Amino acid sequence: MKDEDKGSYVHRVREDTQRYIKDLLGENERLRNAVAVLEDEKRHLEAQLDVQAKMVRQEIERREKEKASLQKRLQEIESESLRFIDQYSKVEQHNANLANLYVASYQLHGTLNREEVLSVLQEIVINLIGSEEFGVFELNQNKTSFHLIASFGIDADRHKNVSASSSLIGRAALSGKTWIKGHGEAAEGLEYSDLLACIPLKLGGQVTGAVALFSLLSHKPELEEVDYEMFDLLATHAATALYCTELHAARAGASE
Amino acid sequence: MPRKKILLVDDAETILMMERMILGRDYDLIIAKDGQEAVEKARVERPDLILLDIVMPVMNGIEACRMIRSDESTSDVPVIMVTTRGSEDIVKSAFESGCNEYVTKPINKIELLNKIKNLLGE
Repeated sequence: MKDEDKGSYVHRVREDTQRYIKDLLGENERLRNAVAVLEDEKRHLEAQLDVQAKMVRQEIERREKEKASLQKRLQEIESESLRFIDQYSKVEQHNANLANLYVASYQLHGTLNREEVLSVLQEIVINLIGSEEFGVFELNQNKTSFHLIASFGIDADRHKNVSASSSLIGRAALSGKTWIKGHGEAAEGLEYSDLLACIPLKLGGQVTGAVALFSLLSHKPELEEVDYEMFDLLATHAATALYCTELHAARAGASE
Repeated sequence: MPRKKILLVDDAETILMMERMILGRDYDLIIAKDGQEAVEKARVERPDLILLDIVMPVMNGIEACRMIRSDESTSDVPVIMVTTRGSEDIVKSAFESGCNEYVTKPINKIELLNKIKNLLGE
């Protein structure tokens, strides 16, 4: 190769190299710009993401609060509902108790026949109070003893006459207040100290007799609130009903 | 929807009156005062449920329940025994005679209504 040709070749290579370098630099610049755009875009997206994440977090927080509030409201409603159920149950029980008292009163005054009144009295004690061991006593005229006029589940002969002074039945009845085991005065030393309850029968404030309960039915563990109401009712209504039968019998006898 | 019919069987007027007060608002009620009358009324009236006392004159509740179960026309009528005695042997006899449920006296209104509604599918 001639020197002239060599010089031309070198020149061409240099030019090519310079062009290549220029292209490379151009390409580098273009890539740098593209990276800058992408970086910018990335920052923009990150910012957007941050905003959205913040919104999502706020939404979650709002929902959590709403959930807690709903749960609290649900608990309130549940407890309110339980309270209503409890109240309804109490009202129902109260109605049933009133029905018991109404039935007892209605039945006691539904007849002027002494035997029927005593029979109703027994039904009330068995079916509404829940005792199958009891006696109904009447105070004699000189107020020294109580005479058995009706009974259920006890030996009638053994309890035919009960002392007014030395027996728990007599003492409790003459006090004019219902006596309940564990609530009244101690009964040691008196006859019938194992009595469960004694309800005095009163007419115009005067004691005329007593209902003595010896035990409750096996499935009834103790006396309930309504039983005390029933005792109060029996104290006056049973005595009145029995007195009415006497009046009626006396009137019927006089008119014959 | 027609009201369901319940046959009340008891010789004690206080219990019948209580049951009427508890059930009269929601059901048509028929009354029988002994086991024999209960069996006859069950056959004729075809009640949806029978409330049967155990201790009664003429025929007791256990015998009446057996007869109700043995009669094709009344064999599937639900029977609730009502008893003053909740002892195991009485309850066993009641179930052996074919009753579906039992309640003890004094009657608890809520307990009775729950058992009736349960047996009537209400």
